[in-house]
Amino acid sequence: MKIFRKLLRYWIGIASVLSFLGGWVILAHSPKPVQLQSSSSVQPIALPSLPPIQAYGATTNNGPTFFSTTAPTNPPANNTQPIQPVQPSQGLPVLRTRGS
Amino acid sequence: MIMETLHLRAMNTDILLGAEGQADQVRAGFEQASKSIHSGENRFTRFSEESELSALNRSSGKRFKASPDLFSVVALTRRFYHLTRGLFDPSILPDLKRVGYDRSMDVLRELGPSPLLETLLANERPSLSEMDMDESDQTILLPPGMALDLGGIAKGWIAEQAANILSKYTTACAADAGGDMYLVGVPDGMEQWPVALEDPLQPENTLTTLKVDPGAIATSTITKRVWQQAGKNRHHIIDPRTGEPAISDWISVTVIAPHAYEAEVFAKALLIAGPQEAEEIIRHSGIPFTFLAIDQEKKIWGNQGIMDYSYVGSETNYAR
Repeated sequence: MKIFRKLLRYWIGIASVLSFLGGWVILAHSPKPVQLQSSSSVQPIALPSLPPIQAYGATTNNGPTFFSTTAPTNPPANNTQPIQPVQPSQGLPVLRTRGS
Repeated sequence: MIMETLHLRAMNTDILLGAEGQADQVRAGFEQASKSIHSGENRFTRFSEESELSALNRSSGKRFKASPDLFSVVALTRRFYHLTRGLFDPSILPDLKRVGYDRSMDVLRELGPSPLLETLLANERPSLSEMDMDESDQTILLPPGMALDLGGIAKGWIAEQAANILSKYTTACAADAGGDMYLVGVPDGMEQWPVALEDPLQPENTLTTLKVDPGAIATSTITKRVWQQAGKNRHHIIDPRTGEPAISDWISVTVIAPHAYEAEVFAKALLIAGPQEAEEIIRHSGIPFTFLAIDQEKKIWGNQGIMDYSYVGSETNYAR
């Protein structure tokens, strides 16, 4: 009985090692999996520009409508105005609307 | 008669008062208007435990006796919550804190990124429509777990109050609270107030100058009051539907309206709404306001009413 147990233990040990090595060899020689497309290579879909929204007629039939326009990529430098320094002064206040 | 300006800092923003009149009267008006601004800030700030707003927020679940000013502003928030179909919602305060805006912007900028806070998510918060207000005894009942942020609407309300006080001493005046302003009368020799519109993508530049009649103008943008939290870019315009900083095609919306709090509220609501939903918000509002929006691609959007506020010269940086 004792010998049988000892043989069984050896058999399990040897079988485990052989199975592991066999699996290793099979995996090493199997074809590589196909690579998934990475997210960085996915190209964004070019969406068509939205047309301006038509009259919504908030108050009257010929009331205000939305319009949309495109900005030039490089606005002319002479169109820009620097922010005036904030300090007490006389004269018309420099009013400037902006998010805060 | 002289035109004088006074600069002060309040509500974590730059305040500019401008007024035309007799010198001594203008200065007296500045003094009273400044007191009103500081008093309003102390009442409506959420960054001080001593403020009446903080006391209201601590009282959630119990009826709170409010001052006439607080009651008025909270009543306005409820009205605009319905008019904007919930896009303007002062009860997003737990979300603002969760995304890191739990301290004043001045402190936030100084201390850098803040950790992600565990607070109720948008769909777990009680709805503003559950808030109960009793006009007869000026009490407010916030449902348990609700806390209000009156930041923008209070700023507009305070600016308008200050301008109205200043106007009692002067012939024409303006109160500009960080770009949200209320104008009373028109300076001598002018037909409108010239108001520069800051380019949201290049703040050092002026996009154009609008000629604005007495009334209000305000701008809301996602390019200001920005910070980082756990590697994420955050801004202070919360979409109440998600509880997260709004994702919109528009980056800046300017509104011209009769009242400063209306301009402030609808600038924010349209910014969250974007072009897809703006039409519905405008139609539903019933308020005659005009808007101009700038989108991510530098396109300018607006309703035809904006053309009445014709640009001064042809100095717009963006083609119309």
